[in-house]
Order: sequence, then C-alpha cells, then structure tokens
Amino acid sequence: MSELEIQQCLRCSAAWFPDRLRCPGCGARKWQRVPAGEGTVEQDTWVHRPPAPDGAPVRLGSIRLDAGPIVIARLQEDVGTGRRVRLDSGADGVVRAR
Amino acid sequence: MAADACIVGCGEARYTRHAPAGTNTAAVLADAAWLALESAGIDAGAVDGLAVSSFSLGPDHAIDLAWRLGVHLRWLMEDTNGGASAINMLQHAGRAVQAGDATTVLVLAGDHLPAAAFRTLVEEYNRATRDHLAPLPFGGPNSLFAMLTQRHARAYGLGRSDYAALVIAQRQWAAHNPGAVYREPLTLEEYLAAPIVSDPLCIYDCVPVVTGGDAIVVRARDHLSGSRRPPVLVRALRLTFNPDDQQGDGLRTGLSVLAGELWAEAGAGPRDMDVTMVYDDYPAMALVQLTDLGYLGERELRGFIADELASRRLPVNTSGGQLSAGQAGAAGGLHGVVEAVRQLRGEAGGRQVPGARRALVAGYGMVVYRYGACAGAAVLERAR
Repeated sequence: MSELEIQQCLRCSAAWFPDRLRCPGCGARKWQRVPAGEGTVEQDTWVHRPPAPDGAPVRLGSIRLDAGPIVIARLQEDVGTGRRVRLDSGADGVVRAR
Repeated sequence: MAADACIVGCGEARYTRHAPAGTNTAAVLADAAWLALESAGIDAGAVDGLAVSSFSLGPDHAIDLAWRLGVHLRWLMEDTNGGASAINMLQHAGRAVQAGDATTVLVLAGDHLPAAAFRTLVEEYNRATRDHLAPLPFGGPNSLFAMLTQRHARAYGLGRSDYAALVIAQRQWAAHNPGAVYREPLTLEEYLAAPIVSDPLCIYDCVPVVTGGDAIVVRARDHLSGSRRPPVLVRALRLTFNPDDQQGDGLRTGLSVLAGELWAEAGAGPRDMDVTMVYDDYPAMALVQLTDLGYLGERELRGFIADELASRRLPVNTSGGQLSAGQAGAAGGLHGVVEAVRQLRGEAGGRQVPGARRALVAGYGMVVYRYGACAGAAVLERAR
C-alpha cells in the first residue's frame, strides 16, 4: 500500500488523474508522477449489491484533491462527505481514502 | 446537415428482460432490420449501406453482420459511441446518402447481454474503468451517477420526489407502449419505498437491462420512390466528443455547446418540438439534457419538472424511455430515434401526440471515468 500517484505537468504544474497523454491545461506533453496529496470528500454513496466477493455494500466517494483532480475511491466506514483524506493505492488496484 | 437526408423506415426488435436460451445479438439486430425495411417498403436487396453499434456483436464485426444479413454494400460503418452512437451513425449515414456513396443505409443498434457479459462490459468499459473503478468494486455506472445526482440535486435544489416525477411520468407514457418492459403505473409511494441501488438512486432510477435492437433506414430525399409512409427529414444534427476534458462536474453535457448551432440550423427552437426524446440512462441526465438544450428558458428546473414533465404537457420520452421501455445496450440512443419517427409518422398508437411534426432526439454516453463524454442531438421533421 502506497500513496496514490497522479500526473503533473512539467510546464504549468496542472495535475490530472487518470493517466493522459497531454496536459489538459496547457497542452504540454512532458509530465512527472507525484503523490496525490490531500483532498476533500465531495460526495459519498453506499453501493448495494456490488460484485464484491461477499456481496456486502461498498462505500465510495468522490474526492477533490487539493492538486485539482477528482478521484473516485473506496471510503472507510467513518469517512464521509466533507472529510479531509489522503489516498492510498494497493497492488489490488483499489484506491482507498483514509 | 442539408435537409435531404431522410429516415424512411424504423423498427424495434422486441425488448425482453430475460431472453430465451439461444438468443444471439446478430439475430436480434436482424429482427430489427427486417421490421425497419418492411416499414420502409424496401427490399433488403436495395440496401447498399450498413451501420451498426453493439457491445455484444463480437467476435463478429460489421462485415460479418453484413454477410449474415446477406446484404451487398458499398458503405459500411461500425460505431462504438454507446448512447451517442445513434446520432453519430445518423450523421454519417445522412452524409453518405447525400454524397451518393450509398442510396439506402440500414442503421442498426442492439445487444443481448446476459448477466456475466454485462458485468464484463461495465468492468472493462475502458482502461480508466478497468484499472481504477472495477477493483473498488464500483458496481457499474450506477454509483458514478448516484454521486452526479447528488451534485445535481444540490445545484438545483431538488429532492427525490422531483426525480420521481420524471420517472412516474415516463411510466405513464409506457402504459401505452406495448413494447415497454414495464407498463404498470408507478406511484410516488412505491418509488420512495423502493430498494436503493446506490444512494440516492433507487431501482426505478436505473435503467432495466434488456435484450433488444432498433433499426432505421436512411435515404436521400430524391430516392424516395415507392415509400408509402411520410419520410422524416433530418433538419439539423450536431455532436460533441470530449468537450471538457472531463474537468467539469458532469452537470452539463456537450449538448450545451452545440444547442445554439443546432437550433439555428433547424430554424426552430425547443418550443417548436412536438415530441422530445432525451437519453434517460438516469433521471438527472434527462434533466441535464433538457436544460442544456434550452427547454427551461427562464424557468427553474423544479417548476419545469412539475409543470411540463409531471403533467406530460411537454411530451418527453413518449415510449416510456429507457427507464420504462428498457435499455438494450448500445440501442439506447436509437430507441429514441425510432420512437420519434413513429410519432412523426403517426404510428405511436395510444401514446400518439396528435399531429406531431417535429422532434428533437438527443444521445449521450460513454463514461470515460466520472461521466459521459459523447453527446449529440438531431432535429427531425415529417416531410409531408
């Protein structure tokens, strides 16, 4: 488990997620990977009957990073709209907010 | 688009929630094709152009379908734009018949997606979805549009009963559409008590997945000899793809970008439309499209829903829309075109809007990561 990485433009410093081929801000084609940093949960929802192994409800959120991008992540039960969070990315591909 | 591209026939292969064993996508598309050709009074031998959109045609492609259908072509197209594919195929087919590259284009869309195939489709929709959403797991687009609906409700001051009003009105239209999978009346109490899929969306806010297909036949106006029923002209058509780099909140679609040019080309406005078909994958998105296209004027959305939609004074999604008729995969957009053509030709049975002459049809789709990136609309008009 490590912090989620996003792309950042080497020219204008705009950041984005998921991966793109060109900066949506200034059009530059050179970028670096940087840690996502902090963000705020803007919406959350319980997904009932998800295709999870146990079929248990899953809590998802839409997180606006301070760096700009909006990321869809899995929320811990006690994390809801308005909360400040950081994002982890596991080998299983799950982005988690904590 | 110049006014000489016409829709001369339409058909819909029966929508079913649980298709019988042995059903396959090509056969469903063929059912829709034969119905459309029959309604056009055109023999399959006259077809020289084919366009198709389907998520489940594979491993076949458009050429394999052409071979199975036994049509001999000089124009062929396969479209991958989901809910916007119908307007996109109509644009290309219209240009083809105008330019003389083809005389008679069959436009098809449809799907047969059993549960496992549907799950694979939504989890491998694109790379961003496969890599970042499917592992969560996200349960398909419902959760994304649940959060979009939260943003929409907050932006416009709407509650669940406002979205319910649209859903209930469409169900009232569906009562008169024998092809809709859900036709029984729906009450507000039933809506509010329904199981939640992803809050705030309940089962009635999420389209029922069906097996089915839709078809239209496109010809140039000077190739109309023999058509018994009134042709439908494509008066104006516009599309946008990736208008905002997915940097917005999803509460506007590309329709907001194209609306001005679309209405100018049509020489008409929202108030001139006798029927309107918007892409109702979710109630909020139907409302977003009506807003983007300028249907509200100076009115607030909440009052517009009550005055125009709940009352059905403004005929919107008269088939019951996808929410009541069903979503046959990639046919979602063409379903609206077929319903518009039926209305304009006076073939809509108990739901016929008397004297309907002009229609707006919108398509929307292809969620890239958080919301749809393709949108288009066409203004259709009965020729006589």
